[in-house]
Amino acid sequence: MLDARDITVRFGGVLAVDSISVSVADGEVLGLIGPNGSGKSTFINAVTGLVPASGSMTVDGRPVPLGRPGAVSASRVLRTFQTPQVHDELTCLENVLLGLPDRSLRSIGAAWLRRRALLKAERRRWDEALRALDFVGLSERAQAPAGSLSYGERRRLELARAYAGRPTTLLLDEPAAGLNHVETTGLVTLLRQWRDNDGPALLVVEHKIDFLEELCHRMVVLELGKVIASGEPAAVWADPKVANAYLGTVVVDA
Amino acid sequence: MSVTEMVRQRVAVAPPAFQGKQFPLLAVLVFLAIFPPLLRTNPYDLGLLNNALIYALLTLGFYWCFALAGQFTFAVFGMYAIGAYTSVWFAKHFGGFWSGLIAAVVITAAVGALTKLAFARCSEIYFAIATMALGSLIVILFREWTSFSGGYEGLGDIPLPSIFGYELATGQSRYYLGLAILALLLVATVLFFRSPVARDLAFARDKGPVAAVTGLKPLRLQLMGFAVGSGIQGIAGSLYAHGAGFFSVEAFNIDLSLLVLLMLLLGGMVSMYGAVIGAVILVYLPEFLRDASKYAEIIYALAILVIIVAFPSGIAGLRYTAERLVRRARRT
Repeated sequence: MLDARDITVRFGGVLAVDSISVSVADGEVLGLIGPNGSGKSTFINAVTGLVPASGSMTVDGRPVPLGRPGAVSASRVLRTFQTPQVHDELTCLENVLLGLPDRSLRSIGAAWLRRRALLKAERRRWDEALRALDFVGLSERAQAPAGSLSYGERRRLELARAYAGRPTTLLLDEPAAGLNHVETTGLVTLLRQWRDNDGPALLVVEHKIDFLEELCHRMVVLELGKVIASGEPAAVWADPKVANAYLGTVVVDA
Repeated sequence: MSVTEMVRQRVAVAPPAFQGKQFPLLAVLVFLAIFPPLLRTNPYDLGLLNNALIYALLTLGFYWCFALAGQFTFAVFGMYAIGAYTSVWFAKHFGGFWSGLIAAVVITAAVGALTKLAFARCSEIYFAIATMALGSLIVILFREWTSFSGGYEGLGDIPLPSIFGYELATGQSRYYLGLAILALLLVATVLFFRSPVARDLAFARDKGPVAAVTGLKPLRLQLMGFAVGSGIQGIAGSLYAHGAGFFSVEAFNIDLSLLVLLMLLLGGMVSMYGAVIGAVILVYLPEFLRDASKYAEIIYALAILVIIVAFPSGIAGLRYTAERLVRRARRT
């Protein structure tokens, strides 16, 4: 359970995120929507410690300091990025291996002095990483450099890395951006499968409405850094403030 | 049959870093390096060979800092000086060359780690400038602290390297000591590549913030790589000092950092062998240009320009340059 209270981010004089409070319960899928510039991505960046922010955050009741990415990932809150962030020169398998929470024997000292134990630990990790690749359907490409993947495949690879990290909460920043219809449907199926099999709580930032409707239990709408509506998807869409934020006020010319 | 087994049947069981055979190539190269001092035995040629070895070590250290840890450093000449002076001091006060060598490694690695820690928040270009200042500061410290370093007067009576009580008095024997140490460090570098820390460091280096939210510790990873690189530079300093028998603070200036940078660019950053190739070439180039000494610097400068523009991945990376040219030719 991730609970972020009064998250505020300032860029110079601009209040990008204005005291937003959002909590995601275990097993819940929460959609975060809003027009461009409403602070969705900045909110995610603030929660994962990538931009300085004020406010407070707890994960499963334990406080997590803001502004420290290491502390956030240590509490098993992981994220993906708007443009998929994978290392092009490493293979798909290696990219997934990066995300495994098992960090034993991953130091220079171990590389020199504890070869046997290291290889044993690595074999265990390869199996785990292969399972993650299999989950997203990329096991055929395990040995291909990530740089050779298509855009949609990179998204899935990033997801596999997050999957391997066994998160309790996963923040997805526009996971369907740049995907075609088939790829989007595939992603929905994948996320649903994960959700229904003891998956993490999901916080999904997205523009594609149908994508969210198929996945979300609850939605929060932002505009200009503030929450303007929240609740079940149907109720949110019925809210006139939401229509107003997305479509603008209709001015009738007399 | 489990899912994993099915997947395993379809793909090889290891990331490519763990495949391939790096050690036979290394063994062949080390074997070939045994012969030069047997063929050329006059002191001048042996001096050149030892020089090439020391520069290869220094450049390998820089390769660790720059290519592996991703930190461009100008402090190479400072680390070289620390390695030389601490090694001599420890060798004189605590039982000979080996205690000096170990002290040089430990202290330069520690100074390297502190450097990375102190300048952790600097962007790449500011890190380079900060390390340039640090290197100069280190050398000024040694210059003024004459009771320790001898300043411009220099230090003499430096114990020769020794193995099992045998003093390595000849250039030949010191060459083999240096070669053994270089080979050991190259093996250590291969072992590093064939371990999980290599990919962790690559990710931390190239995608720091992403690595941090993935759960890696970018600062610690880069710091370790930088410390190893600095330690190797310290080894080079130690071998230089004990081989020279006498040296003064004049041996250490910023030209050394530039030379090492050129060696790595020329040799190529795509492989650890780039450091060795570049060092050997730039140590021997002035010899070949001796007849044209009037134009030596121009030839030097032109060669570097050509390399940077036409062969950006250096000599060790000629394969990549060739592949690129072939691809381009096919396209037209």
